[in-house]
This record gives sequence, C-alpha cells and structure tokens, in this order.
Amino acid sequence: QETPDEAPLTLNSSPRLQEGIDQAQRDAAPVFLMGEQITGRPDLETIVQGQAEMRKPGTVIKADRLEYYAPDDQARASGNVRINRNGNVFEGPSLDLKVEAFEGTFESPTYRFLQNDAHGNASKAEFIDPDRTVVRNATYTTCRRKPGPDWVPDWVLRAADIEFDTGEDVGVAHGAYLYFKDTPLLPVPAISFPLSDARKSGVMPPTIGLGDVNGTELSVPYYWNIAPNRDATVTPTVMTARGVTVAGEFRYLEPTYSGVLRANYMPSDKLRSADRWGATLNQTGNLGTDLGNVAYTLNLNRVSDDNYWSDFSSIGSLTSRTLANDMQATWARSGYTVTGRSLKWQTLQSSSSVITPPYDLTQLNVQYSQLNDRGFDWSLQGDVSQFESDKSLTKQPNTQRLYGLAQVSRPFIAPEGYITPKLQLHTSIYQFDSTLNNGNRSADSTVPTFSVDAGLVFERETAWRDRDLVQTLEPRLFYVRTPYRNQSYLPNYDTAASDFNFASIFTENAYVGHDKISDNNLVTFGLTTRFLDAQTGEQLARFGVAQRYRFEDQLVTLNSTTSPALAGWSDVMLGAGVNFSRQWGLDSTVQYNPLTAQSSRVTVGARYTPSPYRVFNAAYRFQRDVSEQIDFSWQWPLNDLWGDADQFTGSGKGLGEGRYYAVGRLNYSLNESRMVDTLLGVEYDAGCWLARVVVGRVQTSSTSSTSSIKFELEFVGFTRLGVSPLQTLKSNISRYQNLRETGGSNSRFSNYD
Amino acid sequence: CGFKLRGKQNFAFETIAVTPEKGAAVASELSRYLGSMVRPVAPAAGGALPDVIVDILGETREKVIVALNASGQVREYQLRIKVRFRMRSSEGRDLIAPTDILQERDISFNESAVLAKEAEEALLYRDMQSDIVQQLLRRIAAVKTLEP
Amino acid sequence: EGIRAEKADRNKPMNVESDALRYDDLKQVSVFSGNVVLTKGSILIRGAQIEVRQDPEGYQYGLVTGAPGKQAFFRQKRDGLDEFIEGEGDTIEYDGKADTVRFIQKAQMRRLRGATVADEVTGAVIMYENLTDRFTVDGTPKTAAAPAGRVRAMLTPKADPVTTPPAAGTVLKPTTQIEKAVP
Repeated sequence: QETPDEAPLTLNSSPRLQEGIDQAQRDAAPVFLMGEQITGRPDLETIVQGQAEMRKPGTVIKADRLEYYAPDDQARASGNVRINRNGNVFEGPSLDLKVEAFEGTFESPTYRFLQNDAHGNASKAEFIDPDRTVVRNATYTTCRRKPGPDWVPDWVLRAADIEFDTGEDVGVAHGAYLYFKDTPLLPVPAISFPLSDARKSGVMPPTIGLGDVNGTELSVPYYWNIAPNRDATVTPTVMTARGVTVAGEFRYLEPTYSGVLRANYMPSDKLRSADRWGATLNQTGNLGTDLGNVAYTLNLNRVSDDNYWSDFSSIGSLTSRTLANDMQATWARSGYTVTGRSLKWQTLQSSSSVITPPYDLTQLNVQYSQLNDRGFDWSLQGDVSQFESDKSLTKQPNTQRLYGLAQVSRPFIAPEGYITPKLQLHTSIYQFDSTLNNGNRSADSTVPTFSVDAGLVFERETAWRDRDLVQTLEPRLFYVRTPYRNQSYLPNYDTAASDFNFASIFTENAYVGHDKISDNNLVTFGLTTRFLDAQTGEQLARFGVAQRYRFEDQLVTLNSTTSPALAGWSDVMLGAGVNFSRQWGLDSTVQYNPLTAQSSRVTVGARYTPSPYRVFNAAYRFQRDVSEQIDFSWQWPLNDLWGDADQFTGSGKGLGEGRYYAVGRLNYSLNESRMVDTLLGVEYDAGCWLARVVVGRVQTSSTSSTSSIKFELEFVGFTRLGVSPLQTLKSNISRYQNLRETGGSNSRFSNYD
Repeated sequence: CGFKLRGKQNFAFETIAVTPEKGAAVASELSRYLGSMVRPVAPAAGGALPDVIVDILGETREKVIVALNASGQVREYQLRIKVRFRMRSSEGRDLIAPTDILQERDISFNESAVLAKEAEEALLYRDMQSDIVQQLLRRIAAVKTLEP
Repeated sequence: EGIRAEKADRNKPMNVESDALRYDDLKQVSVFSGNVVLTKGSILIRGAQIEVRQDPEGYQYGLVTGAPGKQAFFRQKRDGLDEFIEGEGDTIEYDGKADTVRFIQKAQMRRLRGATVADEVTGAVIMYENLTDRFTVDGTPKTAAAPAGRVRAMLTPKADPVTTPPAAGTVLKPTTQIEKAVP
C-alpha cells in the first residue's frame, strides 16, 4: 500500500477541451460517415456519395465521394477532398489514406497549418505517419491569402521537398529557394524551420548593417535546441571592413549548476590587424561537501585587448571598461554564513581617458547572526581582505585589512509603528605593503555607533474623483550618534560616498564600505504619504520628504582634501512616485539645498503607456558638477498620424498589417551639450514579415563615436522568433514590446470543421 | 484632519502559505512579516491546507545603463525589480489575479569606486524589496472575503 | 468472402399473429391489423398493419406500416454470427423474391454485436439486400424547397482482443526544461 506521499497525485477534472487524444481513446472511437447516399456491407466497405464526410477523433475527411474499407482501415476520397487533422488542413482532388496509421498519398494538395497559419501547395503529399508528411515541389509561406486571383505572397519558400513533422513542430526543406517579393533571396540547400513557437532549432532573423567602423555587416544567427535543458545560439557575422567574427552563446541547466557561456572570436580583424576574442561565463550552482552544501557563483569576463569595448559595441549598448572576474562561494548553516571571494579586474585603459583600476580583492567573511532571539536581533561579523591594484594609478599602498563588526538591535514592531534602537561596534586593522605618508605601515580604528529608528503609521479614508482611497501618513525619525575617530589618513579601498537618496539618508554611515565610519550626531526627519486604492490596496502615489539636522560638524571625510559637512540643516530630500492609472506614471527625487537654493541631485522620470505598442518615456537626470542629461525613448505606431484604428490580431501580435512603428532613444548630455547616445528606428509589420531599420550612434570617447545602421528582416513563422540581434531595443526603451511575442499556441478547436 | 493610528491589520484568513518557500528573497521577507500565520503549502499527511496561498510567480532584477558621459563611461545605472504575484484560495480560485509590482531606483556610477557601488546597489535592492513587501502586505489585507 | 445474413430464413415458414385478419381478394392481399407480429425463421417484424401478398411463383411480399408515433420494426440474425440487424421506418417493404427489405421515411438500421450497437445508419430510405448483405441509404431527394437530405452512418471498429489496461494515475515529474527563450 503506497504511503501517502508516494501515491500518484490524483488530478481533478478540468473543464478545458482535451488537445491531445491518447491512443486507447483513438482505437475505441467509432467512425461517423455522412452524405447524400451510403451503400456498403457491414465490416466490409462503405461508399458515401454526395458531400461525403468522414469523422474520427482528431480527423475529418470531406469529399464528393468517399470509400472506406473497414478491414484495412483504408479511405479513398475523390472530388475536392479536404482533410483536417488536429487543425492542419490538406485540400486537393484525390486522397488515398490508411486512416489510423495515417499513411497515404494526396494528389496536388494545398495545405494550411494551425499553429502559425502557414500554407502552401505541392504536386504531391505523402503521409508517412500520424506526425510526418512529405510534400513534393512545394511552397510554404505565412502570408495571409488576400482575395483576388493575382495574389502573390510577399515571401515564399519554394523547395524540391519539405518534410513537416507536426509531432516535433519542425519543417525541413531540401533544395529550397527563399523568394522575397518574387526575387530569390538566398538559395538554401537544406533548412529546418519551426512550425510553432516551441523552442526548435532553426535560423533566426538575419541582420544587415552598415557602419563607419564595420563596413557592411551581415549576421545570420542560428538557434540550436540541444536538449530540453541546453541550447546554443551561434551568430556568424561578416563585416566587409574587418572580416568574419563568430559569436556564440551556450546555456545549460544541470541538476546542481546552471549558467551561460558567451564567446566571440574574430581571427585577424583588419581594424587592429590582430586576432580578437572576448568571453563571459556566468554560472551558479552548489557543491555537496560533507560539511553541507556550498553555493557558488562565477562571473568571469576576459577580452583580448583594450579596444575591445568600443570595437565590438553593438548599437546602443557598450561593454563596460572594467571587466570583473568574480568567484564567490558561500556556506551557511543555522545562523553561520561563511563567504570566500576572489575578484580580479581586467581594466581596458585608453590613452584619452585613463581609469583608475578598481582593487583586486581576495576576501574571507564569517558572519553569525540571530533574528528575534528573545526580541533581539544581533550579529557578529569578521572579515579578512587583501586589496591589490596598480599603485602608480591609485596613488595609495595595497593592503591587508581585517575588520570586525558587532551589531545588536531591539526592534519593537506593531501595526501602529516601530522603534528600533541599535548598537554597533566597528573595528578595523590595516597592514600596508608600503608606508603611508605619516610613516606608519599599519593602522587601526575602532568606532562605536548608537542609532534609534522610530516611525508611526497614520491612516485615513479619503477619495479622489469618485475613487475612494486610503491615505497614509508615515512620520519617521532617525537619530545616529557616532563619536569622531580620526580616519582621514586611512586610504579608501572599498569606500565611497553613497548617493543621497531615501535609502541612504536613513543609514548610520554616510559612506558605503568599511574604510571610513563617519562621525555623526544628527537626526533625520522623514515624512512619507501614500495613496492606496481602498479596494485593492494598490499603491497609486507616494510622496516623501526628508531632511537631516546635524548637531555638530561631520569631521571624517573621504580624503583629506574634501571639506567636512557642516552642522545645521542638510539638503532637503523630496521624492514623488505617481502611477494613478496604468496609462502613465511619474517618478522623481530631488535633493534641494535650502541655504544655497540649489539642488545637487535631481532625477525626474515620466512614462506614458496608453496601450500595448505605445510607450513614451522621458527622464531628466542631474548630478551637480558630474552630469546633466535628458533621455527620451519611445515606441509609437506611425499609423496614428493618419488615424488608422488598431486591428486586434491576437495578443502579442502587433496592431495589424501594414503598420509602421517609430522606435528610438535620444540621450542628450546638457553639460557637454552633445548627443551621447542616439538610436532611431522604424519597424514595419506586414503581417507575415517584419522589417526593422535602426540607426545608432554611440559616443566612445570625447572625440570619437561609432555610428551604424542596422536592417533586419524577419519572416513570421519561418525564421525562429526570439532574441532579435536588435536586443538593444528592449534594453534601451523600457516597456518596449516585441511585435511578435512568442508563446500561446492555437487550440485544434480554433480551426474545427 | 481625520488621521488616526493604523489599527491591527485584520486579514480575511487565519492561515496562509507563501511560495516559493525557500530561496526567494521577497517570499521569505513576506513570510517574516506574516509571522505565525504562515503554514507549509503542502502540509504533511493529515495537516490542514492553508486558507489562502500567495504565489510569488517571478522576481526579476535588472540593471540597465541609463546615462553615459561623452567619453562613453557609464555614469548612471537604473536598478529595477519586477515582482509578479498572485493570491488564490486553497481550492485554486484567484483572489488576486496575477499582477506585477515594479520598483526602479537610479544609482550613480564611477569606475574608481566599483566595490563601494556594489555595496550601495545591495542597499538599494534591499530598500526596493522591503517597499514591495509592504505593498504586498497592503494588497493581501485589502482582500475582504474568500467567497466568490 | 462476405458474411451472409441468415440464409436459413429464406425457406422458413412465415407465421403472423394480429388482432384481426381481413382477406382482400380484389387485390389478392391478406391484411393483418392491430399489434401485428410476423416471424419467418430469425426474421421478426412488428407493426400496426401488415399487408401480405403472394405472387404466382409463390414469393411473398409484405408491406408493414407503423402506428402513429410508433415506427414499423424489423429484426434479423446474421448468418453464423452472434449479430443482429435491426431497422425501423414509417413503412417497411419486404420483397421475398429479391430477398430485400426497404425502410421508408426516417429510416434507421442498426447492427448489434451481442448487446452493443456496432454500426448504425439513418436516412430517408434504407434498402437492405439479404443475399449480398449490402445496404444502401438514400437521403430525401433534392427538391425545390429543401436541399438533399443527409444520411448518417456510425461504424465501430472491432474491439481488439488485447485491451490495453487503463493508464495508472498520471505521475508528475519535475521538469528540467529551460524557461521559454523569452529575451
């Protein structure tokens, strides 16, 4: 008798129609025949004349005349025969078929497939088995047939033979030619293509590009579905100005680890007359050791030379100039967490803008923490780190650093509010590999901190334009007291000033990292009000204000040159987030200094998304003395200009045939009064094919930029949908929607005879 | 002006399960706030099914370059968290249909302070995550009855 | 070689019971009326009224009409098989010479394999030839008013001797499949 958890799950019935019919059901089901006249002998033959129709689960045959021989399950139909099997339809003059085995031949059929509305005609169709059919000198297209005799599909695949496998949802064509607007585009000796959106090996939309650096560029990615848990995409690219490069991406999902390996190799690149390569490995997994399992993450990046980041930047996205090679392993058990980490950098220097390379780090961190231990949350942390970098650029010695951090807090949490006193002791010891300017080779500093974080929550019913809301008022007070310990002589390894925002204004240390603990005697007042929909509790708007009052100057500074923060009121922090309706939303934070009546940090972002495929984003980002930029990005149907109404053609399938969409992104740097990142494009949706033209210009240094134009042709239902090489559209325009989303298969009952 | 302290949050259920039960940041922080009401989603033999189940269907974190300077150096990233959740009764009927909650924060960037920025990123993600958990608690509390 | 309907019936004596019998010597026809039951070997015919006529060579002809709301019924065992042919129609014509049975108006014919219905045919007129075991079904002919009537047939395959055991409860196993390649 199986114990409860081994008994197979009993499934409850579902009202949905069954897509697949299992074999037992298929064998037992009767055959129905209809017509104007039937003659025959039981268990022998039956002949139906006059609009004859034969029905079996999943198969319907219609013809003028139908003969069915029961003993060998043979059907012979003649006179405008139409056979519909699970939604795929074949039509033609005569058919000869063993119904159950689904073996037989069909003379000069035309056919239409359920999943992607693909259709075509052939001289002969041979049904091999319930899944596979071979059609001889056949055509295949997904362009919808328009009325009128002289209709010609925009694109069509003409092949000596095509084998359709509706079980695997794959079509394989031999001796094929791809015609686009009646001009043969590319001869294709043998090509496989997907019959549905399922992950199938196949060619992906080719991209043609023109660029001042690469010359004319053609890349044809191929997706290879190795196994349910492994797949690969190989993208060979020919660049007339430089040569041939092959990029590959291999994804794998194994029981104990999973990851992505990306590599790019270009032998003898004419641009730098050298071999170029770049590789990235991201993998996470866990190892079962006898002490328990260790979770690890790998993020390794390596490129062949310093110009790689600008020479191989695709439109709108740059590879960063500091490439991390990060290996982390974490072991955790009942409160203990031990983390080991090794982080090395490959910094791509360029003569025109030298970067101080980040520190290579080798670290061991042990932490023991308890939550809600008799009301107390406390934790002890010990950390040993080795920091190394190019001393000529960092202008400070490398070091070994050990720090200890003990924290204890007593949170009192209630619906009305909370109060959390907290004590913290931070101590650090340095062992430098050369002397500091004060002559020492080691240093240490110990800093205690006391903080209290308290907040209340008030609520009231209110309404706005016949929509009843709940408004909250959440005052918050955060007091920090840290005595002054002179640390200005200590170099910074993993420390920098954190942005002034609502998260950092309520933290004990003005700096992020462990090299500098700012001395504080300050209280931060915060007030947040939220507007929530009374029925659904959805947050519609949030407004916040926060300001600090320092009782004494903050003497600890990042380095000896910066001036200390003065006592008194700090800058005011204002924040607003509004998304009253799904259609538009606004987010902004402003850091305003009442004394100088200037703001030092402003970010304002707005979006307008009235419907699918219509989005307009605008953003203004200002950081005093660093950067001031405005950023617009959009996806909008141009047909709105001449007032075409949307045609709903299924979710995720665009707004109808013959539509142009403007896409783009403009990023203008005000303080450098120059367009930093431009991307302008038009997408055309012709129903059964899509075309994209995108012009892009990316600033790669203060004097140079790369600009290029990319053109992409996508045959819907033929080239595998999915990651388009212009992936940058999705990352550049937030809430951009692909014109053909994958997923969603049609049910066989949608094409029921 | 009508404001009064928020009273005890009364939910329309006594017991709740939050899936995925292990290894998901938003789900475990939500469970911590729901405290003693949390039950396993698949009780051992004989255990009672929880009244409602909150499924965190997806939690995606994204880091996108939003500002470059004239020499192509990254000056600003935007951190995004999108959490997709659903709430259903134990018989499987949707009390809250699958919905998304989005949070975005901008963070400045400088190549020379990569390690510090990494720590600040973690701070911002934690702040966005706790804001999303508060919104989830409000959405769950807004469900008044379990019957259709 | 086809399976024949019961051959033995041809030369079996015909026996008829009914409430009343009337001999119409003008048409040389004997007319049975009122819950008429006609048996001839394995053939059984029921109806409200049956006219039986005999031609000079001794072949018998029957015309069966049903009562209002109750169709005439015909049943015959198939030769050497545990199978029966059953049929109904507003009127049934039995032709002894050609050994055929015709069901007229809303005709239905079933072949029973033991107790279960194997095949079933419906239409306006069904003709069943006993000798060749052949049946022909015709719809109502196309008239100006209505299109041609449709006829229907249902054929059940012979149950395979080995019947596959019903599948056990479906066992779910975890998937190792990567999420759809959604960018």
